[in-house]
Amino acid sequence: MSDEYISTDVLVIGGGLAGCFAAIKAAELGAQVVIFDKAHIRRSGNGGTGLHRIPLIHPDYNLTSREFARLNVQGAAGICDEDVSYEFAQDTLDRVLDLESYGVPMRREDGSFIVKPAQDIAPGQIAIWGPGPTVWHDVKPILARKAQEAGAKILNRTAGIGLLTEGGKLGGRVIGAVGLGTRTGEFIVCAAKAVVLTTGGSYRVGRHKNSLYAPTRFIECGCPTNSGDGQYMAYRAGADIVNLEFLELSPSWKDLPHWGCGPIGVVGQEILGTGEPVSASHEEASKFDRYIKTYTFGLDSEVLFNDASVVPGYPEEKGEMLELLWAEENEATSYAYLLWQKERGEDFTKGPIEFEWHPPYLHNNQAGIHMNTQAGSSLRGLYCAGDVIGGGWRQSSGGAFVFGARAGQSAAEYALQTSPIPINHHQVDAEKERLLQATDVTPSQGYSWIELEDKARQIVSEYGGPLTSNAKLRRGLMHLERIKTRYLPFLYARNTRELLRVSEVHSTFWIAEAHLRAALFRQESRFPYVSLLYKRGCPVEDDENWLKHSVIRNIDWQMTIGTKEVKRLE
Amino acid sequence: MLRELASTDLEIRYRGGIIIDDELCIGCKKCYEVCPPDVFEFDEETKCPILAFPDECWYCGACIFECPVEGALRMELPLACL
Repeated sequence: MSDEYISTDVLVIGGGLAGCFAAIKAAELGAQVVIFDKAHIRRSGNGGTGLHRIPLIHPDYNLTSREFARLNVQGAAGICDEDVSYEFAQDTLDRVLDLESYGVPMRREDGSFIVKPAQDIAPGQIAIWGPGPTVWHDVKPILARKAQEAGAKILNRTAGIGLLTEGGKLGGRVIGAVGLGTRTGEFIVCAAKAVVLTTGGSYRVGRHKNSLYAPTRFIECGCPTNSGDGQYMAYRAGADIVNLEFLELSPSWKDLPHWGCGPIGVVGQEILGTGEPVSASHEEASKFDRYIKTYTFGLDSEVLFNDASVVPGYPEEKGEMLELLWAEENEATSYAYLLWQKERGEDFTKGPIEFEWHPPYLHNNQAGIHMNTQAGSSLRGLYCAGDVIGGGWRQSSGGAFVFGARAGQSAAEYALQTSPIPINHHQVDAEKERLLQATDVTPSQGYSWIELEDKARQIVSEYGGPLTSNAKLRRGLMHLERIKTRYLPFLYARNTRELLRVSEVHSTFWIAEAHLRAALFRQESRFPYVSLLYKRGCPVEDDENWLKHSVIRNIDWQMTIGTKEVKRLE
Repeated sequence: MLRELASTDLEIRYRGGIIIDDELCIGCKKCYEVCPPDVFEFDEETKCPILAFPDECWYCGACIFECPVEGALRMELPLACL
């Protein structure tokens, strides 16, 4: 099949919350914009079926951007760039007002916002909630329409599979990308003066306990189409990837690994089956105790519940908070949660809800492509935003809006003052061949994407974070290398759909390796709020030596690892 | 009796996924268009979607939000999650 060639000023890969904002802002500056969306832009990504709240800084809460940034750094256990947190705080309210101007209802009838603490996001965080008994189910359709009206050309069912660089060189300026039509099998080669990566995190990293049980294979905390493709593409182009040792962990509904948006973390306190609280206070819970105690107890020796009858830190909020949460959960962003709740008769307004830890994934904005305050990566012509980024901290949807907008602006400004660079056809062919070799393998000779994905995720869960040791990590790397060498080359794809999954499995293997290597590299335990790394036998938070980003770089196609200083405000 | 049992379809069917009511479905294709993990196929003859890849359903409900006919699509959680 012949390839389609297109060109544009700005190519946005991933049409989720961040990608839509990037496209809108770039188009408003007069840039031509193309969006690749692996799914369909109306309902793609983590915001696909709605949002229940957006983290922001609000004047009513008397928290300055500087104070917010300091809290953010604390939540991240020091491993984030304070300037990014500061800039996030500066812009959040403006982006919420943008959303309002696009048609997303934001206020109560009296014109006020509903702003409440959202401590599950990070200590000190506050968030704006939907103005009524519903969550914002239609944020994505509204943003998608706005992007289209702004002039962006949307290519649905088109997955980005590889970035193109000047001269095809590693570390060169990014000048476009190759996409795969996920229903057509056609390759789309897009030459672009600047590229924005907004492909999200990855929820296919750790292995869920139900993973061998077919119908639950894709029931992940976040959208399973997000498989770390952006991080892997950026790595292959030569960008800096930071902090992959810190995967995010989610305490969520027992047996249903959908995000526990709602009572858990926001208002609840973890208690054991005996009724004994895990931690004395939310403040204490934000550290080591919460994870070590609940993680091991949850797995091994005790049932875990979340008790929402305590509202640590803000008892005066309890009434309205519970009302809001209850409304939210009745109209959850996760449809499955409603069925779960009905089946089990769980009701957090009446008693503790049973929960458990679900497997680690990539979502915390700490681990990912190293992003600066202008949403730039370490490569010329490459911008990023949303869950694909690293070096920041827990920005959630607010970060997707703030840095999505900045990525679009920065990319457009860059694109409008530079000339296009001819693409390197060898690089295009190499990207295609990397996938197409799976079409030459027959099922009797090879392995399905399902088997290989399951194996990579098994290795991460058995040997990687959050609870691990140097010996365990070395062993995990040995197994991963064995599987990668002996079996990964024999992935087969019988059709276009399987070709997409093969591409995703490549990303999963890369994340597995990057995670194990980064975790082995860091010779300490460290406990960010939602993404601890506990290494048996290593010192705890050795700031003198390890208050740094770990950084993974592709140097001559070898995965090399080093450190980068964390940025602090003056 | 045993012989009779042995002759029936031996494929194990897991419960769970999106249940499509062909009687109510108007064939608008919206579920097929938007599904993030792309689990539907569309049967042009019957003008109804088919849940072709139930194992890859995220259970997000995007199809149900988009469906213009109340009750044409219904979600059933796998037993492992219930």
